[in-house]
Parts: sequence; C-alpha cells; structure tokens
Amino acid sequence: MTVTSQRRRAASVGASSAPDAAVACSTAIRDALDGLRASGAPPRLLVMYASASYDEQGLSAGIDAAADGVPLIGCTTAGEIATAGPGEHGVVVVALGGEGLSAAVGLGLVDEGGLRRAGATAARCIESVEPRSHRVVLLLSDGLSGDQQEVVRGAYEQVGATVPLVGGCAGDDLRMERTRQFFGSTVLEGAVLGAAISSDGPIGIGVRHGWRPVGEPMTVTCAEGVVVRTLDDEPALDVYLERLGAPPEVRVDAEAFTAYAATRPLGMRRRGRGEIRFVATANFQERTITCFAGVPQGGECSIMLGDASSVLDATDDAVAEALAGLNGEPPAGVLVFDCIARKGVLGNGVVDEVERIATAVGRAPVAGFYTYGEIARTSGSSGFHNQTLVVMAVG
Amino acid sequence: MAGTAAWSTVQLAEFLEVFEVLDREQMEQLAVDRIAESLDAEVVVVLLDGGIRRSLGFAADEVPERAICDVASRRRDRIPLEGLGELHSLSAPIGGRSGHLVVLRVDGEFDREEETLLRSMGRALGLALTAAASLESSRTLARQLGERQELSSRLFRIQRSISHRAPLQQVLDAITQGAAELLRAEVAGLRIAALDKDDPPHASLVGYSSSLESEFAKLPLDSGFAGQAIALDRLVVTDDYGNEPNRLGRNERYGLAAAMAAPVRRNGEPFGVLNVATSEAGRVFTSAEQEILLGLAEHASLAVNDASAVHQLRRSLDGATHQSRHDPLTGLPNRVAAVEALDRALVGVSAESQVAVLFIDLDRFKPLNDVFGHAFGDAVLEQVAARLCDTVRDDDTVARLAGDEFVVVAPVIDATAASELGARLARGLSRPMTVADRVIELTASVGVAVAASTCSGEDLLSDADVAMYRAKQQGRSAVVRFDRAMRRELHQRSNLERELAIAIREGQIVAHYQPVVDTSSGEVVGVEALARWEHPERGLLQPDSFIELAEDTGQIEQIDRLVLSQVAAQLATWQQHRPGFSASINLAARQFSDHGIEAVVRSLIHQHALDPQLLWLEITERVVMDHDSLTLEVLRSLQSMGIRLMLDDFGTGFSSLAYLKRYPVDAVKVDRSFVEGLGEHQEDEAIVTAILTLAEALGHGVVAEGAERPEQVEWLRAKGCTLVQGFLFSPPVPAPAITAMLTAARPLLAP
Repeated sequence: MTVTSQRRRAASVGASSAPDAAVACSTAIRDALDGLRASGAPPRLLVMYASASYDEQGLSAGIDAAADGVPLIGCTTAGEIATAGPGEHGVVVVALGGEGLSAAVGLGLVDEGGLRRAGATAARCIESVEPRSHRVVLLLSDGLSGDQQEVVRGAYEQVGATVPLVGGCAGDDLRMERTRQFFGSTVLEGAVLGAAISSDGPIGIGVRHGWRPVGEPMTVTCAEGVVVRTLDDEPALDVYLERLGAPPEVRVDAEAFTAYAATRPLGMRRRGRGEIRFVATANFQERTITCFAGVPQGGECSIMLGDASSVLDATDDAVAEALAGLNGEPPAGVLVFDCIARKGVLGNGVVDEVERIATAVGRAPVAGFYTYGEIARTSGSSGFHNQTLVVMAVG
Repeated sequence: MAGTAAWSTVQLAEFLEVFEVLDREQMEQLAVDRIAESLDAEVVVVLLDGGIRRSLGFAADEVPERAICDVASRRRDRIPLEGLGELHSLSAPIGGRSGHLVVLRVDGEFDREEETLLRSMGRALGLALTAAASLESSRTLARQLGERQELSSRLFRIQRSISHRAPLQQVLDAITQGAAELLRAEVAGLRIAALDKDDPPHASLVGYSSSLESEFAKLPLDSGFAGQAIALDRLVVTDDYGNEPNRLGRNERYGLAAAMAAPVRRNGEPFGVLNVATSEAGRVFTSAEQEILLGLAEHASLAVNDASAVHQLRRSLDGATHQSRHDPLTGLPNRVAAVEALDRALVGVSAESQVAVLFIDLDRFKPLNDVFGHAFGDAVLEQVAARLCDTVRDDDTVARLAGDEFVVVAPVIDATAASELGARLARGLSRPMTVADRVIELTASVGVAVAASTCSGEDLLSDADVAMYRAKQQGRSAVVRFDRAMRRELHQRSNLERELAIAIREGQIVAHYQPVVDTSSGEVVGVEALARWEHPERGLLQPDSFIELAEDTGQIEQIDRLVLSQVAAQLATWQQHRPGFSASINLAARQFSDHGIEAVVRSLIHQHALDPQLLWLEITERVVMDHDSLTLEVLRSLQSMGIRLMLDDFGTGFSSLAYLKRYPVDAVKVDRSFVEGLGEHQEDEAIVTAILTLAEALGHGVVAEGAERPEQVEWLRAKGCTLVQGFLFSPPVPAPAITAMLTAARPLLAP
C-alpha cells in the first residue's frame, strides 16, 4: 500500500495475490481505500485490475464486500502493475480522491448499438462530473469486441476536443477468448466503462511505443475494417510471414502465430508519427491477417520490430511526457496502460520497466495493467493505440 | 516511419474508401473520421446546404456554428476553444455541392500540402455524395454501383501510380485516359508547365492526331478554350464549342460539340489544364461529369505537387539524389540509374561498337527467401551483386532493378560476345555460395539484348526482359538472346489495341453491307451492315480479328457508333433510290445498358431525315439474357422512336419462348448454323420450322442468314420465309456496290 496526498488530491494503491478471488479483491480494495482515508482524502473512484484467472463471481463478491459505495470500474488483464512492480494472477486497485477531485462513471454495451455508440455512452459520464478546471475520461473496454478505434471515436464525439481520453483494453492472459469488465460488482463482457475525472490540478498524459519499421513500406491494397486482405496486391498473411521469415509452426498454428505476431506489429503512416497496429490472428485459409483496430485500405504500412532497449527508451519518454504536463509539481498518482506485446519484448525486463516508472515519478503510487490495446487522445481525434505505453499522471 | 510516397498521396488513397460506403450518413461519418485522422485535427465539420451536417470535436450542443461558417467563407481563420487556445483552421469546398469542409487544429498551422489534400478530399466527398444520392434515387442500382466502382477504382489506380512514384508522364497518361473513358469523350488532354528550367513541359493527349499534338506543344498553356480554365482558374464548360470565341481553329476538323476544362494547380496556383471534348451532337456535360473532371484535375495537381517535391529534393540534396538512384541493399545503381547508364551508352552505338543489356533473374530465389527468411535472402542478394561485379569489366554497369532482378549494361563488339558475357555471369553465379554458414547453390536465367544502332534504353531493357522470360520457359539456368519473334508474340495484342485506336480515329473502320433479298421477287430490299477494318498494311480485316479485342478494351462502343453513323448517312442516300429500303446493324450488348445510344440514334435520324422504321438494330440473345430493367427501358425507348429491333443468333444460346414474348422485338434472324443444315439435317429443319412458326404466331418478321445453296432458299420459301441473306446472293460489299444494285433497272440478285 502506498499513499500520497497533496493539494487536496490523493491516490492510493492496494494489491493482493491471494489465491481466493474474493479475498484478493476485497484486500486490494480495502488497502487502497484505507490508504486514501489515512491521508484524510475522501475516495471518489476505484479502478480495479484483476487477473483473468480469478473466478469472476468471487471478484464480484469481493467488490460488494469492500467497495463501500465508492464508484468502481475495472477489468481483467494480461498482467497487473502496482507500485511494487509487475505481477500476474493478482488484483491491483487504485483509489483516487480528495477534496479537489471528482469522478463519475458510465457504461456502454457493444451489443446495444455497436462499438461507437458504446464508447459515446460510456463517455457521457462527462456530463455528470462536477466541473473543475481539468478533466479527463478514463475508458476500459473489451479489446476482443471489435475495432476499438470505434470506441474512441464514439467517446471523442461525445466529449469533444477539450477533454483528453485515456485507458486500455481488458485482457485474458493472452488466451484471446473472453475478457471481463466490472461496473461496480456487475460482471460484464463486451462493455465499455467510462470514468470522468475532474480535478483542480493538472493531468499529464504521455504516449510512446518504441518500435521501428523493418523493410520497405507496403501499400494496403485490400482491407476491410480490421481484416487486412492484401499488401502490395499479395495475400497479406504471406507477405507478413515472408517478410519476417517466420518459422514453420507460425505458418500453420494459430496460437503460435498470435504469440509470434504479438511482438511484430504493423506500423501505419500518419502525419508526423507512426501508428501501431497489433496483429492479432491469421486466417490460414483466406491468407488474411486481423488487427486490433482498423487498417485503412490504400494506406502505407510497415512491419515493426522492437527490442528491449527501444521499448525501455519509450517508457522513459512516456513518463517524462506525462510528468511534463504537471508543470513541475510531483504527481499524486500515476496510471499506466502498458501493451502486453511490450511485455513480450521485455520478458523479465518488465520488472526493470516498472522500477523505472516508479523512480521517475518519485515513488508516487503507480497502478496499471498489461493491455490488449491502449487509449490516449490528447491531440487530433484518434486515440487508439497498439503496442504502446500510455501514462497518466494525476497532479 | 520511412516512406516512399508523398504523405498526402497516401492519405488521399485512404480517403477514397468513402466510395466503398453505400449509406450517405456512414459515408459522411467515415469522411469526417478520415479527415480528422489524416490532418491530425481535433475538429472537422461538414457544412452542407447552409447547415452543419456533421461535426466532430465539439461536445454535443456546443458547435459554434457562426464561427465555423465564418471560417468556410474565409472571414476568419482562427477559432478559440476552451483550454486549447486559438485553433488553426482550414476549409475547402465540397465538390458539386453547396457546402464546405472545415478543419480545426491545435498544433501547427496547415501547410500547402494539407490545403491541397483537403481540397482533394472535398472534391472526392462531393463525388461520392453525388453518386450516393443518385444511387438512392435510382432504380438501376446495380448498374450505378458498377459505374461508381469504376470511378473509385480508376481514382484508386491513379492514386497508386502517384503514391508508387510512377514517372509523372505515366501518371498524367493514366489521368487523361481515365478522363476520356469515364466521361465518354473522344479527346482528352492534360498539359502542364515545366517543373523547372531543366524540365520540359508535360503533355498527355488522347484522341488528337500526332500533327496536332506537336502543334499544341508550341502553344501557350492559356490559349484556346481550355486555356480559359488557367486564365480564369476555374472550370469552364461549353455545349456549343463551334461558337466559343476562344476555340482553336485547328480543332475544327474534329467537329467538337461539347468541351470542358479544369485547372491543374501547383501549390495552389494554376499550372496546367485538363480538358475533354466530344463531337457527339447534343451532348451536354452533366454536373456529375464536371465533378469527375475536377476530381481528376485535383489528382493531376497532387501528382504535379508530388513530382515538384521530388524535383526539389533531387536538386537540393546530393545524398537524396544518391538514394533515389541507388539500391539501398547492394549499393548498386537502381533501375532509374541503370536506364540512364544505358541511354548514355546508346549514344555512341554503332555496328562496330554495340551495347548489350543482360537481364539476370535468379532461379527459385523466392523459396530460398521463404525458407530462410528475408535477412538471409538479402545476404544472398548482396553476394550475387558482388559476384556480378567481379565478373564484369570496368566499363560495364551492374544494377539491381528489383527483388532478385539484376541487369548488366556492357559495350560489346557483337551479339556473340554479349551471349558469352551472359554465360560467364551465369557460371559465376552458379559457384557455391556461403551465406550465414550455409552453402547454397544458385542458378540464374539470363536474357540478352544487343543494340547495334540507336534505340531507347527502356526498349532494350524490355527486350532483355522478354528474352529472360524465354530463358525461364526453357527450364531456367539458361542464357537466351532476344529475337524479335518473342516480342511479336508478347506485344501483338497491345499493338493491335493501339492500332485499333488509330483505326478508329483515322476512319479505317468502315461499314460493309450484305444484301438482304426478298426471294419472292429477287429484289434487294435491305442490307445488314458489318464492320470492317481497312488496315493500312494488312488489308481488309474481318470482325473476328478485332471485335473480341475491342469488346475487352471497350473500344467496341466507338466502333459501333462509327459504323452506326456511316450506316445512317448511307441509308439516307439509298432511301432516295429505293423507298422502303432498310439497313440493320448489330450493336454490342453494352450499348443497350445506358441511355446514351438513344441520343445517338435520335440525332442521326434527325440529321439524315431518316425514316426510323427502316433502321434495324440487331440485338443478340446476350442483351436479352443479361437484361435488367434499364436495358428493357432503352429497347422500348428505341422502339418508340420507330426503330425496329431484330433478335440476332436466335436459337444458338439460351433463348426461350418467354424471351421472344416478353421482349420488344420486331423480327428474328435465323442463325446461319441452322440454315446450313437445311435440306440435309432434319434436326436443323425442325428447329427452323419451330422458329418460323413461333415468329409467325408472335407477328415477328424473319430473316434467314448464311444461305449458300439454292435448296436452302427453296426450303425457306416453302415455309414462307422469303427474306434471306448469304453468300449465295452476295458477300458483304462496300457501299458503292449496293448503290449499283439499287440503281440497276431490274433485280440483280436471284438464286
């Protein structure tokens, strides 16, 4: 449990890896809330990240038992991050509060009108949050429910340019089967959760990926939404495998492909920056590849590679960018959304990564999770990322 | 991320996805998303018909409509947004609509490239919206969709040629070709000023004679009717070209009726012009067609801006020049540099000092790449490059064209020396190679082309490429010297296509006529017109040697219309000699899939004061089979003008009684394949009997074609079919021969 409190805004993180879901969940929530209350700050919002290996009913019971009426949003993960370091098969909870901070939560369901509308509905909580000088909407969504850029577009349509968006997509330890979202103690699938946070203090956001393109860029000659059919007029899967010289098992085995592709994303060319697309699955019959967000037909893309050093450089840069948004003040708490693929590249280096973050933010409470897609819209209109680290520092 | 294409080109290519969307709302939403993402803008607003149709970036109910309209009308260029400061703005009209796109951004002012991009997007969105609107209101959804996709795929192809940095001339040619085809114009031209003092002005002309092309090159860009588009910096349109004060006298021979021209801009300033024209009487370019021209002109602007940027880059950066001329992997000259080296070598070429091009392609390189990966493949290519360099002499140039294709340019004393060099290169490559601790053995196919006199480098390179393919066909690992027969085979078809275009332009396509005889009187009562190609070298060509190609390339429409207008003029003369004399013409199925044919026929009837009852259009079963409601509409409309329709080839396809009953047909032609068996095969006789009975029952006339023997005619007459054509009476002949028959005192043709 770590706590900081200053300028009437506070954050506190609780974590547990108890084998029983209800115990782990309630312990983490209580620790986070206790920490906040110890500093005299009233809790406004709980954000929970829980291992997909836990029994969801147990988690629900844990929330009921401990949340104490504080609004909570949460999701399952592909690994959790707390101040003390990265973990697996545990629960991490961050409590945000203080007299200078308010929050309101919202829920959108993909089944009710699609991804875009779910994003907009979840973000509608911005209308009910107490007005303060700085605002942000935190989004947690089901990354397996379709093109998540649509979720961000919907949320952006709702809140407009003056409110940044941050967040990430729920995970399931790379099984790619189903993820869960928690709205209070209600367990959901295919949901978008929103938490509008307004604060008297600044909120800084940093975004970096740390991948570099290999080989010549290619033209996306045929794509439908998230499915890329051809690159340079050749079947996309063949181009992808050949360019990388993929090993034999990756060419036939779906699981091997997903694991291999996790650290070999596509980079889309954008104004002034590249955008990363996580290659999720392959269709071995139709020779197509499916990404986690839309890949526009007619555009240019490259296959991207990263190594531990480029990924860690990106970590430092993202944290520095987030802190720069606080005008030199130390953060009350830091939320991170770190792509599972970066974890894939770093391996055991993730311990080093979280340590770097913790050091850079001056030991402020840190909470986050390994995601299936990251959300950060600070400028422009698009804000869905893949294989990226998003850092939000609450000042 | 490193990229080869101009950024805006890639963005516009992505934006063209709006054409794929059917629903207008979705289309607008997609457009807004794409624009915002391309320009990294926080706010995008679509203003249409005086109101805000769609907006992104403002919280609900907070759209500052007044300020947005002010930006669209350029009364202001900044809009403040709470917490974000003053946003930079950019706006562009939505093509063909009363509307604008307005874009706002926090970071950084918009530059010229972005301005051009947004204008192109506005234009494209306008086109897509117009197409969507007409789609919604149209009953002929399928056909419209086909047309829209043709437009979209055409624009996409042009985009790709720009983004792949095809030579500017090639891009311009694609645009002109696209304009001519999409807008059904016989002539299309695209002329732009020189990019800089070292670069000649570019022109791409379709449908102009070569003498006129060279005359045009001397004229200032802003002369003539098309030049007005530059002078006024806007679209100019006329449907009365003959009375245009600015028209060029030289164009008179084309008898142009309607024309339009749009400015091509560089950095926002008029820099060239794209124009189309047609001699089709009564043609008026619709607003949708005007939008297409503007859209294509925007593409030309994009290509010009892109080419200018490359030009500047080349001039200012030595390093960049090197990169643009060298293959980054092997450091060898690339294709551009190879062709330049070749062109230089060809300057001094003679019988004593010849130039050889050796086109080298590794055999089975792809599987190697697949098995061991690209890094391995790259290492192999580096070694191949080194081997080739070791084998050649100092004066020779080794270059890498692409992938596993290399080329060697070498001065040689004769063709034998060139083949020997080819064999040496192949041997050099076949020695075992150690790459990443693996020993591999490679072979290569080598194509050799030798020039003993001046020719173009690209041509010689392409000869060597053709020879290399032959080497591959011969089982790889071979060295083959180019000979002309190889190219002939490969290029016969494309030559034929080009020749056919000339033939159409220069009046080599003529109508011949086969008499139709009333066997009860022996009188010639009409003719069937058939297209013939008077080839300047190969003599008179039958339709089977060019119609199939013309169908594939779409030239069939022009051929049909040419023949139709010849027939109409001729029929007018014959009707004076013999009232009631008729002519039939067989038109391609596609002519009946739009209303264009009606206007053509109507104007011909009017122009020649023809009795429409005497003009027969023959439609094949195919027209009937592939029918849609529009085809039916077109056929009915032709009939209502008085035109008669005859079903050709009846019985050979899938015809059924139902078709004959349902379709607006006045007569049936009995196919030659059935006529052939009359008097010999009972089966054929049974079929013809059935056709005749059926036609009689429906009140349709019947003509039998392909009569070659008197007994066939006898058989037909006995069954009541007296209208017959065939070699028995006369083969198809030129018009004067028919005139001679008509002016003769007595019936000329008797079986």
